[in-house]
Amino acid sequence: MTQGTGIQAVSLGDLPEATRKVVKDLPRFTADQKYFQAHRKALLRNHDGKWVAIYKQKVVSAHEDREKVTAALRGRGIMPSNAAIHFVTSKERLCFF
Amino acid sequence: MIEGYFGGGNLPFVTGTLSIPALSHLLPTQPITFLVDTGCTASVLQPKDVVDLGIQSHLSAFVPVQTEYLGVGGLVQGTKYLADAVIVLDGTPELSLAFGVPPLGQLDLRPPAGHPREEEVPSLLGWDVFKHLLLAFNGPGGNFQIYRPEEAQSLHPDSP
Repeated sequence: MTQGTGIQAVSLGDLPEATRKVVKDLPRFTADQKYFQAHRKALLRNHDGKWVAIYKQKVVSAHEDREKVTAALRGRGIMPSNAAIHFVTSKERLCFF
Repeated sequence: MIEGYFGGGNLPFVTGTLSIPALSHLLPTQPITFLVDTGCTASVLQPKDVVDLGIQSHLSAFVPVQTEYLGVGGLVQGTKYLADAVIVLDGTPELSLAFGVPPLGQLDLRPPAGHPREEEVPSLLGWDVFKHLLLAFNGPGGNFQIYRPEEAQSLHPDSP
């Protein structure tokens, strides 16, 4: 345990069932997130200036309007939070977060 | 140990799950990505995720707090909502971050404010979390790891 109880190592068995199911799906979710960076050049060729949703390592929706992308996901029974949604742009950007 | 990855913009991200106990009867546990941002004073759930996770329509469950955000755009007045939340980071073993339980404060929920392109800003795990952990960045290798102090002791048993 790390400094109190707010930060601690846990194992799958310690987690509530609902959380456990989502944690088990994280490798798929992480792979979808990584797909964006690994295929950035191809995505730029086809979707520059658009929001792109990736699910199970496939582009399932792309549009200039992000809300249309999330609506399309819901229409396919995919919660937007379960997909990797990124804005694809060829513009140089300096990011400060 | 938590294994992160370099995602969009080659920035460091981790994946995990988010649960908000006050909304557990309304919203399921959901996956989420966080940018690792040791320059941010507190962890923030940004408008993109507040909307996508369905939290926006339940913000009345939390007390609004007027706040100031200082960034490259200058000082911006805004409203935030502070929530107890549990984030479980994917790793071996998994790491649970219970916001609202010491040493962590509550999680900052930032509602949409209508700023241009605010939906592009990722949620952040900030210094409030990382001051309690160890980070090992391997830029050339394209990966990084997050360790609890106890794990770092086992990696370097001779260290004080």
